[in-house]
Amino acid sequence: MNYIYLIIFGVLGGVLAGMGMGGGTLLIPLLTLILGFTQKSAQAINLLAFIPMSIIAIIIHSKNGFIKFKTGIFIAVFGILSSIGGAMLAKNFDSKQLSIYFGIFLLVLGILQIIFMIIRQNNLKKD
Amino acid sequence: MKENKTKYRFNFLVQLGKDGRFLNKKYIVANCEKLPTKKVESFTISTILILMFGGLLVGFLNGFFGGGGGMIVVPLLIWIGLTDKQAHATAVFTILPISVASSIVYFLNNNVVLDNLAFASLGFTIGGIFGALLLKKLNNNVIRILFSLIMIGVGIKIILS
Repeated sequence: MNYIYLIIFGVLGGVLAGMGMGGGTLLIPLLTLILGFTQKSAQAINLLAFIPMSIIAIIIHSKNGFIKFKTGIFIAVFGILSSIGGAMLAKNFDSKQLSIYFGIFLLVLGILQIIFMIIRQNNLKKD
Repeated sequence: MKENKTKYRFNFLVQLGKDGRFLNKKYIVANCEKLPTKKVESFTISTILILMFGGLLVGFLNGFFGGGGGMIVVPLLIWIGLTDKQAHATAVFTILPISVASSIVYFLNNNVVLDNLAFASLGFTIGGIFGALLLKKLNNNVIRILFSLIMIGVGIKIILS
């Protein structure tokens, strides 16, 4: 039964992730809150599940001509460096602590996103 | 790189009429209004700095929280002049190598149960294909507002529980 939920939640997160809208921020809480995964294992599953999904999504996006490869690679080079640091740091926290930080992170992201959208709407109006 | 200094705002109907694809430059110039705007993919110093520090932040968040880096990349890319759809697609592309790096660390720390991973990945990939195909057609704003609200709600729930 768990497996069916995993697939369903995977699809839900995947749709958003494929659009580049933060599937992980949906999949991780689904796994922890509903299926009772620990924060760390949910994070690991999200990271690893992202790999096959994104390869296919990238093929589709690049066929549509949406990807700016140079910019993407530039960010990724710096991102890889700090991601290893971030992942090693996460090892030092237990899952309970991590999940509280994750909750705060989600809250901040949600608020920032709404603020960002309001700013954008105003800029578009000015144009 | 000269043509990159101008951003073209596409007429959505024109796009749809041509199968929704970005076609050759001549076609775009002929059919779209030109808007003067910030530099696009020309790497000025400010762009480089934004991408550098943005990259470091995104990588750290991706490693520490196991996701969510993409939510930071998208506004950054829009800030430096990409369109919405370009930003979302490029975010997926950017997060892949970063996730691979983080995954290796998580995997070595034994946080993964393989059969759970297999089923979640299966679902995630199926969903991802839908998502990638949908990006071309969808107006993302509605989803974004909904998802922001969900994130705030879920965030509060996690903090309280």
